[in-house]
Amino acid sequence: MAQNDQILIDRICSGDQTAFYDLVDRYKKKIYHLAYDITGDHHEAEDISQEVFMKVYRALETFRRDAKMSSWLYQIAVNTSIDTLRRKSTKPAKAMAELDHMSTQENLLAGGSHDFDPVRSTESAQIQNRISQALMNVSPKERTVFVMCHYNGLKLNETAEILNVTIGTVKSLLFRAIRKLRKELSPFLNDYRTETSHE
Amino acid sequence: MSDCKKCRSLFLERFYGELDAVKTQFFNDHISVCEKCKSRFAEMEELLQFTGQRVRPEPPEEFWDAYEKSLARRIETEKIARHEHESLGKKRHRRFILAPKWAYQAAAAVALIVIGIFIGRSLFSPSIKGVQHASQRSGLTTRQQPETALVHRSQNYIERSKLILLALVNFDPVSEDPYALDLPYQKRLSRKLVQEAGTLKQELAESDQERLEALITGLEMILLQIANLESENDLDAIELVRDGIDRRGILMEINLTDLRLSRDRDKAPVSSEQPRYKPNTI
Repeated sequence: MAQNDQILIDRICSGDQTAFYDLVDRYKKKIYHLAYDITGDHHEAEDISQEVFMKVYRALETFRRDAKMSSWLYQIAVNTSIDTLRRKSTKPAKAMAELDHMSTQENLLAGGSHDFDPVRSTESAQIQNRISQALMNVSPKERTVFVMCHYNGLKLNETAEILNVTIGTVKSLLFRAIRKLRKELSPFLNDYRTETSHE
Repeated sequence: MSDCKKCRSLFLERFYGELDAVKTQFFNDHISVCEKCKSRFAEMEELLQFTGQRVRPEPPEEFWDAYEKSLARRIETEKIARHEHESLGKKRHRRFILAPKWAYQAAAAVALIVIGIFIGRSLFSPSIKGVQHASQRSGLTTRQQPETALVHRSQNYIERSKLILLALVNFDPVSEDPYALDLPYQKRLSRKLVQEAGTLKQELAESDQERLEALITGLEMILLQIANLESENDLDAIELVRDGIDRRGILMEINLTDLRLSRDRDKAPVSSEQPRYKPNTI
């Protein structure tokens, strides 16, 4: 991937206009997912991810050849997402209502398979909603670090580099997020424990 | 650092598989002997595995098609806007450079005429002494003279401010181009008037002209808002200023002050030499 990124950067720096759309194609889902994880809102995530690419488009001429493309993109995505949250002060309850609806639909769609168990599916949908809700009750900074490491596959040092903080700060934010999530999800964790011990 | 502390600082790296061989060895050795660290790690691991069950609702492929189209549209719009902006800048620059020679010559001629008139008026107009005698003859006391001058200055200030407010109030954002308002010019004038307001207010306060002082204070606030308008296309901000003018009834206040001052002027002793108020053109 890093090598491909380098080729892409070379093409962009040499003025190849199509390279930008290749870049969009390569990163659109990752950026959308990160924005979605931070904001918990599908429409915001769409807007933010497009805004990220617009910002990249405007700054392409100033992009340094030695810079890491993915870090740069994630950095813009995180900043734009946090700015959006701050500006619009997205109410977790509102975003969650949408998430609940989407997740339930998702689970019902997944029920189209042969081994569809309605009880299990409803339980699973409940768990999904509860986790998403718990995430929205964590502070934006803690949530950002948590989703970057836990759902977006970024290493601790990569997260620190993107957020321009030390690795110690990343760990501390992660521990805080974990502690809060544990508190929020404790009733579900008990069930999960019993279930996994049976298995 | 105690072994327990060191071990706990490695929990996250251990869970995400980011430990090197040496640290992994240390971690495993410690966990095998320390029950407290072992149970704490298990707790954290449990929560991270549980939250790992979350699945994001994945948008369908049609969403991504529409996404790319919408992004391409946004980029095109931006390209056009940028191009227009650049060509407008170039056009202005070119117009300046390519202005014909006769335009500069005409401008120089006009400037010479203005200078000539100015010199002629200062050399051949009646002397100031004469005016001073006349005012003494008219019976104006030494205290009345500066006060009258102050009122005239205030009237001048109000008149200039009124022109700016009228330009803003009469501007119709629906049918008119924001450029027609020439906001940068209005902002410059407003800034100048705001600067003048301070001295004027102080002098009015000293000569107990409370009404005029209050009116100039009101005008100063509105002019300050105009001077601080960020962009000429910010129609919301312009609307806000217009609301302020309406709400304060400032134009009505100006008209009342005009009436009051002209009434006072009529009552004052008639003097041919008394300077008549002339609104300055800005």
